[in-house]
Amino acid sequence: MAPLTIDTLRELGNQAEADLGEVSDAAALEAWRVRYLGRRGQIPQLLRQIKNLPVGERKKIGQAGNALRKELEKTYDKLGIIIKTDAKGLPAIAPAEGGAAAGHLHPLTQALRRAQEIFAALGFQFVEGPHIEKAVYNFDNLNMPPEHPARADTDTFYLKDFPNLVLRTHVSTLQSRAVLEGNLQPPFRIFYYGPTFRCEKEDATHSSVFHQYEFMVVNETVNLSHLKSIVQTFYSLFFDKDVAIRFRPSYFPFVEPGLEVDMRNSVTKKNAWLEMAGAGQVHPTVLENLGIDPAKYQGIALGGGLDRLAMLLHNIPDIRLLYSGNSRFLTQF
Amino acid sequence: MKLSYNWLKDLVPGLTASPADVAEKLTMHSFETTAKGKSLEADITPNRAHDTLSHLGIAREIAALYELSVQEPAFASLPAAQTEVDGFTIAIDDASHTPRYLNVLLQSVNNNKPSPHWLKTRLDAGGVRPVNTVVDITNYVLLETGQPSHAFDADRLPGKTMSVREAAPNERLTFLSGEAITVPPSGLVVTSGDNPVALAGIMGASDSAVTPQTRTLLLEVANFHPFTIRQTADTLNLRTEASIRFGRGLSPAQVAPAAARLVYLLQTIVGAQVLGVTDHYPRPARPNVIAFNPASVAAVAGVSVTSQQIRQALSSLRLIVDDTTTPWQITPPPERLDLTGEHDLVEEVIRLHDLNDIPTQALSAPVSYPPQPAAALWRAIIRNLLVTRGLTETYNVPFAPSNLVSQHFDTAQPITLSNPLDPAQCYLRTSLLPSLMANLRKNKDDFHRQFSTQTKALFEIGHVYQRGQGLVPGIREEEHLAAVLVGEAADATDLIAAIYSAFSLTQDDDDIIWAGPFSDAVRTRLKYRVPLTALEINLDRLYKRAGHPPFKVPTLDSLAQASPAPRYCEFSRYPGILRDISFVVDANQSAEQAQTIIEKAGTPLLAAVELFDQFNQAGKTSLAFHLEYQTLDRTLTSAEVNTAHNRIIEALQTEIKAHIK
Repeated sequence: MAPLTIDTLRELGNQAEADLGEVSDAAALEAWRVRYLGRRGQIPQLLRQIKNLPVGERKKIGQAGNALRKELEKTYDKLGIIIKTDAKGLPAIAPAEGGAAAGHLHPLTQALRRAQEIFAALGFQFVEGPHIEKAVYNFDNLNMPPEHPARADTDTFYLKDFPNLVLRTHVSTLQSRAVLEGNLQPPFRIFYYGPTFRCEKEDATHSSVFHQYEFMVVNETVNLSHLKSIVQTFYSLFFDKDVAIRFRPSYFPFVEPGLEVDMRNSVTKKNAWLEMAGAGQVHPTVLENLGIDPAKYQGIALGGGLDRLAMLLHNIPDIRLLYSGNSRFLTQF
Repeated sequence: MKLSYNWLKDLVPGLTASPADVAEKLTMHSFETTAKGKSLEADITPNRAHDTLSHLGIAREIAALYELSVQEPAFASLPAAQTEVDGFTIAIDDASHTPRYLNVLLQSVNNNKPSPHWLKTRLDAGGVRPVNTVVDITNYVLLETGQPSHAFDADRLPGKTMSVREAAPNERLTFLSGEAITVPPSGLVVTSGDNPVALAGIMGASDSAVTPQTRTLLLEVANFHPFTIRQTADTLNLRTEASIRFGRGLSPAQVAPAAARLVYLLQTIVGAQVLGVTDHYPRPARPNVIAFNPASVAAVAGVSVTSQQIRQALSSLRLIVDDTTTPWQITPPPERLDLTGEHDLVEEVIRLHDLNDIPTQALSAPVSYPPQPAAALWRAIIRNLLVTRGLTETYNVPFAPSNLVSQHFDTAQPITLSNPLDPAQCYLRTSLLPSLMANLRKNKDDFHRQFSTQTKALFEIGHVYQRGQGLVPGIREEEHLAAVLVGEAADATDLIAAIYSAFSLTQDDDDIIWAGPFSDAVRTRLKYRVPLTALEINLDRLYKRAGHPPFKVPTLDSLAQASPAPRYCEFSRYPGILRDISFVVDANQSAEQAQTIIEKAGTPLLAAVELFDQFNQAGKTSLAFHLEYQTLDRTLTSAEVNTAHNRIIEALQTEIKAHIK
């Protein structure tokens, strides 16, 4: 190896940049990283010679070396993002540089990504919206007018000074937001998720803050048989296992027929049926409230807990762990 | 609702299925029900509270499911209603809060004996305590028919004009329990000569209550506006079998059959004689005829159900089916307040048939694959970038303590919850940093570990909330990223530069970012010996300036998961005790072998081992390991740890002739 001088350092840097310019796929990018920036890469190796230099020179060379390394890392990062979108269409996590341990994505983020990929592949449009929402979107448009018992039954967080707003109790608020404010017209299929809030006592399966996912399809013919198919596809891909699905009658103001969706597979204990989500045919009044003609269009919708998905996927026993901020928990995923 | 299997079987004599089978059948066709011995517990959904919070309602449901008939309970024939009976009249001004108010005056009552055994058994099965025979009969009919009623001792009523009105200010009532209440505004009271004698639909007052000495009864069977009853009951924190049912809404058409049943039981059990009936029912309920197109069933269920099957299903639920017209004309029984439109009838047909007969049909291929929102894609890129650099993601709840002053970005008043779960956490957060700081404090042991798996930094992406303008009037809700970095090597500047670089933006907007070291005072409070750096970025503003990142639509085939999801391992809440061990062995000894020996000798107290140094010199290998001792159930004593540690040393010495340094 050449001795360490400002010139040899600059030369190596130029060569590394040139080589990086030739990289066009993930494998080549990784090879470049190992060759130049890895623990035994050329740049760290060259810089190790710093201990052979006279003391007076070390600072200048050291600074130049660090600046070069950072410069290359920046370019590497940028290129990495562009190149390493994996087959799933989302950017992959690059291996940690310099051999340092990578951090960890929260299990809820990981669950969300799995769900998002599946629905994107099914052609669903992803929409997002605020957590503080108009009460009209949270209740009235969903067939829960002010005196409806379901409205009183829901443990809603209210805000001082804002009588017409609530912390949303479900993500179904996105139905109004996407259609009424987003100018969405049928046919459409939308997928949305996010934090939701209930003012209820907390325990192993209940948290005052939790995350829901929901989808809605509206067109001229969509019905419960399509719902069953989507659910089957979603859960089997999500858990990477064969699943059996069953429907049970239930009641939600915004669907009619309303159902509970149960799932059974080797993930669930003792092969029991596990309640996964509420679903049904969108209530004609809801369609009207969204400015959609129920004589012409019909819809299906399903909502479930993202926390539950993450807990089943990773065998997490208590929902409160997800919001604990405990590094012993977070670093397991 | 608690149900007695024997009572149900009395009402459906042909029923042979076991309680467990009945529970399963109801669960799959009506609502979730469990069985325990001869007792059933049905979780009646709110839309069926009108008709199935009763044994008769459930019996009718069971009869429809099993294709059996119901044995209707015996009832008396009531005389026609009059305007006045023995001086008793009804005068109600506002019909909106009381759609129906019916009285029956009965004399010659012998209430001075206990209820029959069969009655007490059934009250017990329904979770209701016996009081005296007349009251027990009203409770029995409530559990049987779902219709509440109240009996007054007619001789103890202050007046003969019965009415229902809104309470006057500070109007008081004393219940049989001795509890006295002030009726809240807009609460309804039943009055006798304008004196309150009952909290309408909820509970009667003690002054006119029926006792074993009662001889003349004024029976009230009525119907009240649900929201009013519910609101009053909630305000007073009262919950009675009557208030539950009125609160959900009942049909006024149920009043007369229930009255007839009550009179029959009063006649046969306490020898009562009917003097007459008064009935305030200004707007009698009309049958609700629904136009129904049978093709709608297949349109919703995706499965063919024949006209014959549809007709059979609806008839078995006591709906009147006229299929001679197009569309059909369907008339639900009056108590089915939940059946208002065609979609409701479709549900009745499908659930009675079999929800699991619905086939699976794939959705048609999408017309196009819509682009995902830029913010969501950027968020994924940022997360990946941070994780690559060793940061670990956390999620915190957005409630902030009341003693917190917003430090960054804005000092505008935070948004306050009216009903926080914890009064001390009554604000919505205006910054992500305080909760990250709380995470730091909780995790200080982990951060101070020497292991390479120690957490070096945390980040969170989440919303903060302030007053202002945004998507929702009066609220400025924005997405932020915040990170806390631990240790000498932490470099926020570098991280921020990387983030900007990822967006292909130049860094020039100071009010988007806040970054800096924590003061010594803060570090002391969080109990950290090493430097701490924090940063917070307003991501929404960055998203607005950035373009749209690339996105490739995934295909279903590509979604097979590469590796199995990591499974959660219970971790200890008790502190671990860290020791290092270093030793010299012959050069041909492998580090892996040494680690195996350490793990075996360290069981069960050794929780983690990590090789952190290894070098060869003069034919010998020098190895150094971090060890962590910890158990799930207690803090270990140093004596325990020393014993375990010495055991490991001995094993190393014995098995590979290690020379401990």
